Amino acid sequence: METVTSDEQIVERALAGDADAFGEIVRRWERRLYALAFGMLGREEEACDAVQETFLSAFRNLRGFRGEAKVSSWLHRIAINQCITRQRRAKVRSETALEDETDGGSEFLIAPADQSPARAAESRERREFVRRAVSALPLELRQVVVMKEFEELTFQEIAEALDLPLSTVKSRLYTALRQLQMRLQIIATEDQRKHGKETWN
Amino acid sequence: MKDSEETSASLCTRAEDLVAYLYDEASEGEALDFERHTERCASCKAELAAFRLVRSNIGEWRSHALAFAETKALSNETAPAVQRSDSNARKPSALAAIREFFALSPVWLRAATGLASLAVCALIVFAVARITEGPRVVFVEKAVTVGPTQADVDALVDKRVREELAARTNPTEINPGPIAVQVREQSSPTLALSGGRSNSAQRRMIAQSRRAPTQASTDEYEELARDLQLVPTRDEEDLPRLIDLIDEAN
Repeated sequence: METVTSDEQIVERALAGDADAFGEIVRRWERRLYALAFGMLGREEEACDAVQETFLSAFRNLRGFRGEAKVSSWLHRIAINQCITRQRRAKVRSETALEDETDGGSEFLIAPADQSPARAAESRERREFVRRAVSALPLELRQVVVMKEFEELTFQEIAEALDLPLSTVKSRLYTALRQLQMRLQIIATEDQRKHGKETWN
Repeated sequence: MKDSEETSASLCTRAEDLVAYLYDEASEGEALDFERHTERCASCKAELAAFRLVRSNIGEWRSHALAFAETKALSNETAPAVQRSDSNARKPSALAAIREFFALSPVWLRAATGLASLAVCALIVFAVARITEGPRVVFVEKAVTVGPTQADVDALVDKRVREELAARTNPTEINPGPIAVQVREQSSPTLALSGGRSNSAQRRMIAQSRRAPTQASTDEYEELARDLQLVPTRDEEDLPRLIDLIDEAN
């Protein structure tokens, strides 16, 4: 029967000189961290770079890892810091004006994706709306919603990764969803006004 | 964040139960309890529907984005980058080391390294050029800085030829400077007294050559002849002649 090695055990092997051990950590976490970075940054290339920098930083600081926190939490913290640093550098905040918008209603106008080729352009446009809406969230809300939606972590895992109480994670996620709902509605309304389109349904 | 918390508290107090139910993290009992609540709470029911739609849209975006990660094989990009920095495990090639250096170093360090490399290359090129073309360069420098040019030589030759021709046509004008000096020296009594016999005779001849022939007296000619040993002195007249001595011996 194959036993599952924990992340902490793999890190111990890496610290003991096992050259392949850290590669195992990379394989385990790269997709999740890419999802996190993509959700935070909204750009594929930026996300790839952030993940690479995350693993490089983790490797360099491997000896400083004392095992007080989980490896997953440690990696998440590094990745989030990488994303924040990159965002500060890029200063890509054209959507921040949307943060000041008020609640325009409870009806949500953006429907799920239509897979027909005829509406591929609309689907692409809708993805862009979501990206803009997520990017416009405040950092503390964005990282929670990204960790939940992109990494599919549990509330408990997010709480451990961010060192937050469980209730705060739930509260932030609720707030993030409400803000996303409002932002998507506003974006869709503006787009309709601009192009004279029918609402999605 | 304060604004966010106010937004979350605006509708129903069961916000945490709502997200737990939405993400299937509520226990079975909690889920049943919340379902019963939504039958009575219109706002929670509307929010639940709206949040599901939001999640659906995020899911579409996520699926598209992560499909990119699948096709680009993220592990091929991240793993080598980490392994490259493990110098104990593998020794990277020089090219890989340079790549890693340029990938990790700041911009100013890259620029400085580039400039230093260019300077070293320029020095090498300069040194090679000096080695291969050194002798020719030295020859050219000497020819330019030390020797006269062909034009100078031609001018000097031309000048000397003209002087020579002028001297032949008018001999008294040859080197007037030095002759005048000699004449003045001759006129000086101290020089005349201090000079030797032959020197004084030559000076007199030169001086006489400058005078008119009529001005020379007979005494002067005799004195000059004695100086030049053209006529015997009285002491010499008293000495027996060599031919007489030979005849006596025979």
